[in-house]
Amino acid sequence: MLAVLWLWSGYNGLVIRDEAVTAQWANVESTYQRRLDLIPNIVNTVKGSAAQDEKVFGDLANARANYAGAQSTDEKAAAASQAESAISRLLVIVENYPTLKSQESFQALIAELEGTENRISVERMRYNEKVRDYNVMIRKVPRNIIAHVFGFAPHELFEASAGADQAPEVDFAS
Amino acid sequence: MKKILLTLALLVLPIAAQAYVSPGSPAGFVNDFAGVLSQQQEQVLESTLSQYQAQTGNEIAVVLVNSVGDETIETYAVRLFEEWGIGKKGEDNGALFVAAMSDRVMKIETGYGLEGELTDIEASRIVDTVVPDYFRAEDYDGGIAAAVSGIIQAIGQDFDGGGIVVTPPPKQSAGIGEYFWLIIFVFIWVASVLARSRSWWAGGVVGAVGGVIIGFAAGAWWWLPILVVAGMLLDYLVSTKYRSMFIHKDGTAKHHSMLPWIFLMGGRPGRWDKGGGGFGGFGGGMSGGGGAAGRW
Repeated sequence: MLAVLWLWSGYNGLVIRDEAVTAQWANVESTYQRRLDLIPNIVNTVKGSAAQDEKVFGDLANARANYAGAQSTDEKAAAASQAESAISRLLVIVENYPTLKSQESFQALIAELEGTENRISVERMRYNEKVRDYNVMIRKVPRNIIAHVFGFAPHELFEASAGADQAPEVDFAS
Repeated sequence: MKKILLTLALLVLPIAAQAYVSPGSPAGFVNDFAGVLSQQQEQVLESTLSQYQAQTGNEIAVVLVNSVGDETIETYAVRLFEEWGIGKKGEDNGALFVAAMSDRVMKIETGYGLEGELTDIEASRIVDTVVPDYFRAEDYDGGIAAAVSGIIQAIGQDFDGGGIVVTPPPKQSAGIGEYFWLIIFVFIWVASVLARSRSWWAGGVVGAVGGVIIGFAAGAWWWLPILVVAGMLLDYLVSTKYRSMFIHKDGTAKHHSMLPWIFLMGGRPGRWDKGGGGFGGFGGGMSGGGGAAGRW
């Protein structure tokens, strides 16, 4: 009887933390979506001044398409990091166009983008906290036995400083 | 044993160095840990924000700290928001204005529930273009008043009362502030040259040249006679006083320290008293990195 109770609460504790990780991943995804929604606006504003830098616009469009077509969380993370590096390249290009940088509409978009990037980093940070919670739990004695028996695998963390050009290595295969 | 302790300390240290350090618990809506607001202004802000909370339910916190330590202002704002739980739980209708005075950075952190009203664009206008003008002139009372009223306007819900008075930022008397030391230096240099020249008319010439320059630059020709007379007067004064002021009787130079003056110039009162009774604590709201950061 006691063993059953222990198993029950132990298993549920794992489920709760596993679900917290999944829910937080949904928050990360919604901030990714927010960023992708911004891209067309930025492209339209920048294209007028920097039409000859065509490659980066293609990259941004590709990243968007890839994200839209991504099924697994793994693919989504990959598409997001693709978008990240394309955006940072675009921002480097923009440095060459001072008149563009001084436009009010562009500055508003940049404010929006900065806010979005910050939201992404906050939600990722919280995702990592949830993952840590969960990973600690499945490795601790005695719950590691339950975790092993029911196949709770550890989640992977985002890299500590997931910068624009460092693709975060995330494995959501569990 | 000692070795183990040392190893443990080394393991803990890097984590401790990076961690967010809480400024303390909130004493009200306005928390001036840096001690830069006047007592009167702090009370006005506190009563405004507490009325605002009573009428609209939104919780706006103002926090002034000395430094964010090793954190970025963005992370600091998120952690502080999380710790204090600004806004109602579930509604997340809080906003935080935090500034680190010695780091010269600030952030508006928007609760999830207010992201639609207090947009990043509006927040960035406040921290990029409104507040820095005040802070650069060390008008912290004015800057915070402008920030709070900007946030309230951006959220845009009906609110009467308050009593925050937003004055325009102090005129950056561009010349004097930035060129003060240059002017002093040129003045001393001219005075010493004139003193050595032993003529009484050279000062008048320098004054005339200055007057012509100002005349062309600013179109203010009335400066010309004033500067000519002032130049001659200065020359007369320094020529007669030079020996007694800068040279000892035995011919060696006297050293005049400029330090006392420098000390007389800075200095602002740093007083902080807790304002506002009846603050019941924040409601447990959350934020997710929305808003904008700025520096001054």
